Formats: sequence, structure tokens, C-alpha cells
Amino acid sequence: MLSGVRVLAEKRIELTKEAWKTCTDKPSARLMVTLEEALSGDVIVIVGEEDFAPSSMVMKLVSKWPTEIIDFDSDGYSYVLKVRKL
Amino acid sequence: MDCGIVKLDFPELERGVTYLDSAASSLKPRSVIEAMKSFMEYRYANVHRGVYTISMEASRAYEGAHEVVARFINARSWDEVIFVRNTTEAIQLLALTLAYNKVVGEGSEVIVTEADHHSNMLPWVRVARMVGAKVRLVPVNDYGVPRWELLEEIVSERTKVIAFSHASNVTGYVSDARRIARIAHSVGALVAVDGAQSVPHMRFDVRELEVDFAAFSGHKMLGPTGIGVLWGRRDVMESLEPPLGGGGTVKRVRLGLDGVTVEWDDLPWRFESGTPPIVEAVGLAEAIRYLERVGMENVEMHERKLTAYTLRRLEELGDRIRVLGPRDASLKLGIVSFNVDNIDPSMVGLWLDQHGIAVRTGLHCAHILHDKLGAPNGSVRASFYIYNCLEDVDKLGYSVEELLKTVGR
Repeated sequence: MLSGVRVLAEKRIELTKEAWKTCTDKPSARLMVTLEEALSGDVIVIVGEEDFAPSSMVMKLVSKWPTEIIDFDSDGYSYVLKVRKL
Repeated sequence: MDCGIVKLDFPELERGVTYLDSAASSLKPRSVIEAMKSFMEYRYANVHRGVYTISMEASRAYEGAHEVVARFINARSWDEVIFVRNTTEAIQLLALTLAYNKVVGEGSEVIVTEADHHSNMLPWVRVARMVGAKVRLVPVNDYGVPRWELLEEIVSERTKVIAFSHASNVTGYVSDARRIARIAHSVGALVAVDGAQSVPHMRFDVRELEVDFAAFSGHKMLGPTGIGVLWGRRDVMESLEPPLGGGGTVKRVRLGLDGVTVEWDDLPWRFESGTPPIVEAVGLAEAIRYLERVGMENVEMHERKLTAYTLRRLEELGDRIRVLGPRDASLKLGIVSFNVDNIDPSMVGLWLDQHGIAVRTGLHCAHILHDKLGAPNGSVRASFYIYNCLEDVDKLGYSVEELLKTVGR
């Protein structure tokens, strides 16, 4: 990589029942840490389920960080939300 | 007790957080922080090993902390108080001690409950497996309350120990320790109370409760992490050999024709192996003095008021909120666990964090209880202490209400 050039990263978070594996592995904590640690320009792809992490709730949560929603796709049960850290 | 005044003693609250996670760990008042700081700056030395002035002062402070704890729980004497790292370690030490001394042995039984924190359950399960004993569980009802009415059918002459969480860390329910102790003693069994969630929040009198052992942590009662207490009845503890040997536990070790022989030290030192938590003991003693100034009756009354108010606020939010445990605040201490329909507890926790509220989410080291309550992904737990006021509960209520409005039906 050239010095001083940063490759924008795409980070993926699953807010689904399947992603919830153990009592110490909390998807919400991963979401929070990812939003905290993402650098300006990074894209975060959130794959969620409405009966685990409702999209309306997640969008409001994500808006607490400097982000913009760049895509949202839903079949009513699961969804994919793409946000960019500003 | 004026919680608004109490709040001023807790510097962490200056960050503006609404702290509802005291069942996990409490905040620390300035007096505790200052006592530890001052001790480390001017009076610190290792205890019991030095013949110099500072070491003797440190020893006096450390031994004095045993006296403060003994007074707080109304123990018969200070040497019934053993300092360990935390409640978990206290119960482990007790379980190992009783197994090592064959109090719990092959064919015997230990009784725990389905509601217990893992720290009370797992040490006994493991010790039982190690020695060929059996663990029997008191089942819970639909509210997660141990069905103590079955105890008389479960105990037998094989029962050697009944160990239980005095107050549930999930539902807040307080079990009737004295009644359990009397049933245990009727068959010659010992009673061990996990007081992690009760000792910090109510008057806890080991003699009045008629129990044999109690375990609790300093960090849940305004003290520092790294110190916990195992209290044991002197007449029982005196006859027991410690499972952990080492520095500070012996009067004399000799090499004779039969090999190494050990003369164990008096109580409590024989159970406090290695350099103990000296600074932490000073902090715990100061924390207890703070609680004594407030008065444990006031602590309990205040928390029951907060609990009753929380239950009412959550009930007002409708059937999308499910509270785990009894709805009657008079049966509980300051813990209310709940779930929001179709939302993972940890997501609710993140939501509340973004509204300035700190709660704990997950299974709270009580997996079996959550399974029994039909909440295998855990719950959201709000837990209170003396620095919480009714407006903290209101803030929780408003934030959950806003969540319900956001996600809609």
C-alpha cells in the first residue's frame, strides 16, 4: 500500500438470531464497537432480522454516530442496511 | 435518605450517566476512593510479615477491616471473616474445603436451586462430580422463584449442604434463609448463602438468619474489586483444613521422618493464602462505614420503593414488555429484569446506552433460570442502589416507551 493512502473498508455486522452464539457474544456490542472504530468513509453493512433488531430501531441507533444511510433493502423479515461513516 | 444528596458522593455520576447496573458492580463514593488512595500513599506495606512500624500499621488496618465486616453481618467474632477475591472465589473455596475435608463425599448430596447464579451452582456441581456426590436442584415456578415448599421432600440424611442465592440476581426475589436453614439443620446439613445480591442491599445478620456460611463481594457494596468475603461459623471452620496451602496459612512447617508436616495457622489466616487484598480491605471497610451511615434499613426501603415504581412504569407500557420474576416489590430487592417483545435484550441495552442509561443485558450467569423463564436469549436488567432516584426510573421508562414508538407494532 502506498504511504498515506488508506483503502476504505467495508465492515459487515449480523444482527440476527444465528449470530447470537454465546452469552458473551453480543451483536449489539459488535455494532457499537464497529461504529466507534470505523473511519470516515468506511461502509458498514448491517444484516438484520426484524424480530431480533428492528430496522427502525437500528436506523435510529446508527444515526447517533456521524453516518449516512446509503442503501436499505428489506423483505419484511430480514434486511440489509448500508451506512457510511462520515 | 435523600438519594439526591447521596448522588453527590459518587463522582462517576458527574458524567451524567443513569447507572442502573449495580447488581453487576456498584459505583464508588469519594470516601472509599480517598481511603484507598491515602492508604497506598502513606501507610502501605505487606501485612503480618514485617517487624517495622508501617507493616504493623498496615496489619492493624487489614485486621481492622475484618472487624468492620464482622460487625456489619453480626458475626460472633472477627476471625470468622475470610477475605478472598470475590463471591465466586468464596463459594469455590468453601466447596473445595468441604470436599477436601470429606464433609461432602461419595454418596452425599448437595442442594442448589434452578434460580442460582452460576457462581453458586457450578462450584457445587464440580465438587460433587469430583467426589462422587450428587447435586439436587430445587425447581423454580413460573416466576423463577425457587419452590422452597418442596425442600422438605428433597432433603434427606444424605444432604450435607444447601447452597442458594439469597437474592436472585435476575428476579431480585429474596429467599427465606432462616426457614431454609432450619430445614437443613433438621437433617444435619450445613447452609451456605450466596449473599452477593443481598448483603449490599439489606440488613444481613448471620446469627438471625441461622446460616453456617455466607459469601459476598466488596465491589457490589460500594467497595473495590478484588475483595470478597467468605464468612463461616467459627466452630465449623476451626475443624477444617484449608484446601489451598502456602504463604500465610501455617504456623510451622517441619521436615521429619514422615516427610513434611504442617501446623495450620489460626482462623482466618489458614484460609487466606498468599499476600491478601490489603488495600482492597481498607476500601471495603470504608464502604461499609458509608453504608452504616446511611443505614441498611434505609437502603432496603429506598430500593423497594424504586423497584415498585419500576414495575408500575413498565406495566404502563403494555403487553410488549415482559417482566421476569414476581410483580410484588415486597418480595424483591432492587432488581427488575424485563424483555421487549421481539427485540434482542442486548439491542435494548444498546438503545438505552444511547439514551444515557447503563443496564446489563444477557443471561446474567443464570442460564438455567432464563431457559426456565422462556427467555433463552436473556433479559434486560435494571438494578438499583442508594444513588438512584425515581427520576432515574422515569428516564428508563421514557426511553423504553420511545423504543416502542420507534419500532411500532
